[in-house]
Amino acid sequence: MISVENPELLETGPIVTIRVGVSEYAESALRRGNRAVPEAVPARALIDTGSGRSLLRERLARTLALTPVGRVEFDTPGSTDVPALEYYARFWVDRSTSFESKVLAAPLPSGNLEAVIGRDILALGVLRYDGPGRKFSFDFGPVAGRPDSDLR
Amino acid sequence: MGEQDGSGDAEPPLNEECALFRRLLPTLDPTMSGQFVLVKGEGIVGVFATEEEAIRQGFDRLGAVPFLVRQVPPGLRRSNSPPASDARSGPP
Repeated sequence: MISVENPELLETGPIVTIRVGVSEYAESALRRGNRAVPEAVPARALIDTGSGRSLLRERLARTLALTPVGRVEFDTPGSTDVPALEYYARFWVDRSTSFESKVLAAPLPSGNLEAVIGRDILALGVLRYDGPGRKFSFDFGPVAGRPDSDLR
Repeated sequence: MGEQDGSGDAEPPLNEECALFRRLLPTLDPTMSGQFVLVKGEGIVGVFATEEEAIRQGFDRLGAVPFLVRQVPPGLRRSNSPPASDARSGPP
């Protein structure tokens, strides 16, 4: 469970520090190939109910040498067919709890954010946002039958 | 999308795989609708019921190298005309 108290919650939004690393599948493949497995790294992540997809800063994906598992193209007001890579990554909530999910690599607007936790991951649990109390929590609870995400 | 942090003008990964998927989509059997295709290079490695299984098989069979997992659109119907565009995602 993620639980954060932040007196500046109104200003910053629900930001949590997690760790991001390679997935178990990728780790197994790297070990089979006698390749080094990058250590998971801390990342500041914004919980954003306005985002349908979870996002990861492209630079962090490269730092972790994540393996692309997909690509989408989309249009923006200024460009068409803009490609974005998808990665399958592991997110550590604490030392013993992690989940894996496909994320989209993206430039993030805030320089100190490395990830956005969107509704695809929020679908795994219950988000509580206590504005007056300046705190929020996300409880994964039981995870049932979601094919592309997995609480471990 | 992507940050300009050293990638230069290199061709984006998975170009070949995306092109193959676009090319093959009109020819896929409609019974594959909703399933997930694993593509590497110029070939389809397999078709799987779930995205996670396709990703797992990708790492198991191919190793930690880029590969493409793409869902066959639900409701796919065989067509003689080419697809209008690749699978798309709206801005996040």
